[in-house]
Amino acid sequence: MSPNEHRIELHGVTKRFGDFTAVAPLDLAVMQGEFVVLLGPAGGGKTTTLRLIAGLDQPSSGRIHLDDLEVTPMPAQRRNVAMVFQSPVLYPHLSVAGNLALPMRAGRIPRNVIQRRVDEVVERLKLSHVRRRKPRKLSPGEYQLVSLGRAMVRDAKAFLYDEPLASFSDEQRDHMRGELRAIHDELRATTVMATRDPIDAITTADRIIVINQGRVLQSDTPQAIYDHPADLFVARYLGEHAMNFLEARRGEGVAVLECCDLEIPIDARGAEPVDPARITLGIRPEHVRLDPRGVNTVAGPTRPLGSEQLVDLRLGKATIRTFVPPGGHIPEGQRVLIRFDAAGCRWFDATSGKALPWQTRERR
Amino acid sequence: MSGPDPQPIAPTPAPNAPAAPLRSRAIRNCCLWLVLIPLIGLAIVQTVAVAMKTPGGWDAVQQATPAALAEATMQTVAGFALALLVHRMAPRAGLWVAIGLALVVVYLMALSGLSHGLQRSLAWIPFMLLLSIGALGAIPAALHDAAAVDRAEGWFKFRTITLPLVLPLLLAGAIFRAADAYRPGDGRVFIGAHLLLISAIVAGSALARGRG
Repeated sequence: MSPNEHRIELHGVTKRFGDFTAVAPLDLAVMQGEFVVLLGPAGGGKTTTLRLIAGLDQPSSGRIHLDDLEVTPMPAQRRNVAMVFQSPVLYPHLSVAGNLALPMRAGRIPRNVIQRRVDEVVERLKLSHVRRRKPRKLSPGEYQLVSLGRAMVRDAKAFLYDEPLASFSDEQRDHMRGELRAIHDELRATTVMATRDPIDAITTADRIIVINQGRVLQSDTPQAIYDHPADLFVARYLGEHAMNFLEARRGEGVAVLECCDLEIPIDARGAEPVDPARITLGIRPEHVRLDPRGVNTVAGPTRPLGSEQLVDLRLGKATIRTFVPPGGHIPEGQRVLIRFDAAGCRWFDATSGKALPWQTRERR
Repeated sequence: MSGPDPQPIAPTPAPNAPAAPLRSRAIRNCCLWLVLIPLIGLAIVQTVAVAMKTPGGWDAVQQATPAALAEATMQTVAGFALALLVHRMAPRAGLWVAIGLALVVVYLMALSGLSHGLQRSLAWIPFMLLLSIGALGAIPAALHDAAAVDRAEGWFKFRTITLPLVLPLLLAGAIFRAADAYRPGDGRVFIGAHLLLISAIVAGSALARGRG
């Protein structure tokens, strides 16, 4: 199979539970060896999508293909897809090694091969010390590792991870993000991971699909989504620190910020907002610069983040945030001059929430 | 400003993962076994001692044992087989179907012209059916999902996942039935009482293991 072929394809897949639509018509294609992350809030349809791909739930309509073969009516047992569940599931009566071996025993793999694969996975995940333990004697982190191992141990067509890092502490979580990516690079397995954590998504994915209320909002590389969010929801959701949003109205060749009547020159071509008086400027904190030729703001509280600080700045009636280096402490109430990076300004139609393809020109 | 607000991101605990720290769990399990092992030993020793002291007691036990074991085995196997059938046909309403079935079986038994002994023996199958359906229903749905993804199905799933998980409760039920089978005619209720105690202890330990 060539690297550009699709391993997983969903065509117009929907899933309804009574009146509730968990997945609206969804089209999705995952390439061979690609690591795709479904990112969105709880109840957004991520888990349902994974369960539909795994065959644990049947779609209300639409078709699912694995390796060009339609598997929509096929039960999970026949799909050869490995899945790690949000609440890690281990067989309580089997040891760690027994849990790891079970998917291969079910696949009627020869005993010596099972033994060798279990040894490899135990070694890879550093689980040698708990190899003979029953699941009830494992810590939550070890529990989830074994659950991951049970997916890794098989030669599955695709790997589905449903919030696999939720059980780990912050420190372990950071390590496990790297591990997940390393495991993926090693196996080159087609992987779909669901998560609510933007950092999990940015640090592991080849491609992020932002999903909310069962609908795909945007699908692109992590950097592209971070730099060019498709709407206000995506702009708010992605990124470690919240994007600044400032209400504005459209003028002649400019956008005027409502908070301070500051005029920002724009090249407003490509799309028109529903209501020209209701547009939103989105700008990430790193694109708000301290500049002696900039506009006046007043410093508010500062939050130390270790390597830098996040400071609130009052710009007229609005508050925006920017980073300052750890040494450059800004006392509360001090006058601060700032400038917006034109390349970092994103414009949104406040009525529909959709991004506007407008360019921002540097102020002279 | 429009657009839906993203929901707050909060770390979620893993519900199936062990919650208590390892050390406190180990201490709790240790205490449990320190109490259970002497109790089980005491019950067995007392049962044997009373049987030996009673005139003809040991002979009666020897005579009653094979029949009691056979009866308990038959009831357990039949009850469990019926439970598997009911659970497969109506996985969500299994308990209600089983209760209905149990009532019908008991009613038909009362109307039938079978001997009193056979009637009493068959009438306990619904008890094992209800116990088994409870045990099958107690297996978390997530384990069934995991088994499906792991390609476990049919006899393999039954042998490696379902049976080991329901076995402790089935054993407790079988011991309970074996204990009850000693009662008729010979008046050796004491043995039954002690076996009941063992049954309760086995069930208790199974429960404790389930809690992890």
